[in-house]
Amino acid sequence: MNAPYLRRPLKSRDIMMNVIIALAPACTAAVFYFGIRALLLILVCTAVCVISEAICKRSDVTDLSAVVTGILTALCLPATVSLWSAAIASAFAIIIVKQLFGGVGKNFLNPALAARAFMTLMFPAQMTSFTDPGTDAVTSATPLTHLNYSGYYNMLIGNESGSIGETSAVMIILGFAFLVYKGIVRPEMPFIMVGATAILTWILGGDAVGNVLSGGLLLGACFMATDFATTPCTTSGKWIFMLGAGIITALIRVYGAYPEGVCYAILIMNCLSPAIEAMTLPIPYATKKRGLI
Amino acid sequence: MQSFDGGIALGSLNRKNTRTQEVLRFAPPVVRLPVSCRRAEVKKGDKVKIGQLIAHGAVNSFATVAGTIESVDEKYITIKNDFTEKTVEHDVINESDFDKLDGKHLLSLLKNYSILGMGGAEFPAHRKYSTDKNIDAIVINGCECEPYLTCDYVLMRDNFEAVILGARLFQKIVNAKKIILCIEEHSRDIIDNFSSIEVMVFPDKYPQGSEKMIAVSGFDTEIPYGGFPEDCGIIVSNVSTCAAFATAVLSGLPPVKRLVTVDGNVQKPCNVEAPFGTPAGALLDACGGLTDGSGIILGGPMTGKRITDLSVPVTYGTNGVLALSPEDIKETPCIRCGGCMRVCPSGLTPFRIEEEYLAGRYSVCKQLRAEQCISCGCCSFICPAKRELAYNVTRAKERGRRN
Repeated sequence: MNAPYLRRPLKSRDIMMNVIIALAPACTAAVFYFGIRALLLILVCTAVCVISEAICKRSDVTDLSAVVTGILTALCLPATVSLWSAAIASAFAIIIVKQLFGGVGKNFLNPALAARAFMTLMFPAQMTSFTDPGTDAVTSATPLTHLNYSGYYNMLIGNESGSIGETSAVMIILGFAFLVYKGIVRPEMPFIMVGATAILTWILGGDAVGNVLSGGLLLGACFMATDFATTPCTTSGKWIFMLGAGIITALIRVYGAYPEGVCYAILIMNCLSPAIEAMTLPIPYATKKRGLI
Repeated sequence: MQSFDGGIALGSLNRKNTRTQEVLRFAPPVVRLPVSCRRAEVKKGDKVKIGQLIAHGAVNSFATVAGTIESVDEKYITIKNDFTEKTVEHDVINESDFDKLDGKHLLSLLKNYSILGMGGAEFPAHRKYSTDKNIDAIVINGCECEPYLTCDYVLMRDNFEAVILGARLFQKIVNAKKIILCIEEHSRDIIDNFSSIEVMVFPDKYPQGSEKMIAVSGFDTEIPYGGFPEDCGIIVSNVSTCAAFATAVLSGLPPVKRLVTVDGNVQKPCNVEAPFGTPAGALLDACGGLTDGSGIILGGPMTGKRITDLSVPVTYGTNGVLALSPEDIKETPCIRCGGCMRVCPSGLTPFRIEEEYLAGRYSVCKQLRAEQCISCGCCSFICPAKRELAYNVTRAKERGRRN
């Protein structure tokens, strides 16, 4: 050990543990609305992620980062996907997206969202059929195509169709509040993304409130766009990231062929993240010039 | 008072337990004085008195106890203390004659006594004060921002006249317009002692005691790259340095001792007044010995050095001897939380510099301004991945300076 001999007790694992705790309300809502199927999805995805991480041996499984990826991967899948395709998606998230690029902290794409994009490509039928909560009947329509389908109140509490972890706005916000309380994420971040989407949707003539409460916007803004590895590490860089993700979400939702934009918006911003970070690095003492730029 | 960007509010970790303990005056049986880069003027068996020149060089070395030279080697001159406290002949100056001393004479005294900065860096004081720049203010640095250390606080509480007098002497040397004492909020209760000079009270934030941070917080300016505080019209000296100079000028003897905070896993943590050259082990024993097999740190917990050899002596810059039990920490990969960047008072990106340094891309480290690192340790402190950021960035800085 070198100086300083006094260190903050908080470890990486504690941060991951806090994120897991913060995801617990959303998981609970998922199981409440989508039943045992949701629980199975969460368990399978988490198990496959942890096993994949252990196989790669590049980083330590005990840092719990694979558990976070597993839970997030499950939360952005619909309840109807087959467990084996969810398992493939989870393995893809860890092995291809995370470990191939250097393991924890080195991946440039959010593994859970990359897995979701992968699923949409590989299993388009499974990814666009959502069940209504409490039934096994498949509704062929995606929830975003007819927004007032279940009413704002139901959207708020999560009683609507969608991916298992996306539906309950209340539970997602509750989990996020915990992260803010623990000082892991800055509180304004999701507001920027959600706000940008809402305002732009409203300007473009869409239903702002419905857009905020539906789809993966809240889950994405609170848990995916606040990921350390795939967003700029500077505070101003994070603001730009959030703003960009919010704008792209609205544009995809309003003009895109695909009704859900959050996943691709965040993935696109992930790619821009190193550039944003380089432009927003702090100015070193007495130099008046950013490093590298 | 405004503050600098970054840094850490240490809060409850900023332990200052030894403030209320009585100061222990300690006379060690032997002292070991470093001879590096100096020519020894004594040989084994010689009798020496306190204040006698024993090694000559750019920075002179003086006997800090009276006794017999036990050994002289390349590294240390060891003196066996006879506890007679005999001093060399010296001229005592009355404080009333203070006005007769002129700046030039004071500067030569500063050089002859070879007073070094007592805040930790041991920068020769005469080099600081032989500037021809216009100096606006002498800044007495009383920001004892590292946890555990309380020796500067105790000095400001008990011996404030010497601190002020020392600063006035410094003021004479460079014709400074004013004297300003800088302290942190946690030392506010000694503020009344310094009613005769201007006092700035900064919020408790580590590393406020760094010259660069004082320039920002107190004077809203930055010390230029590669420059010194004098380039901003200020000269910063530690409270102990001021007091040591005043005592030396008044007594006619070079400084031979300082206050050292001994804290951590020892029986009786307290401040000890010890001669330079007192071995760290002797100091720990004077405080009742260790309560467990701890790691011994010379200096503060943030920037100190860990020692394994307990015969390493106290020198000018040794403000603490701490017995801490550093946990066995395991480095894990960086998770890019950005914490190191937010706490860096120099506005650096430690995690990037570390990565580039470990990959051998030294020119990128230079582009990232690794040389602006002040080695305060904030980045390593905050890092949840427990990476040795401060250590590696410091190495990157040193490498950059060599090339």
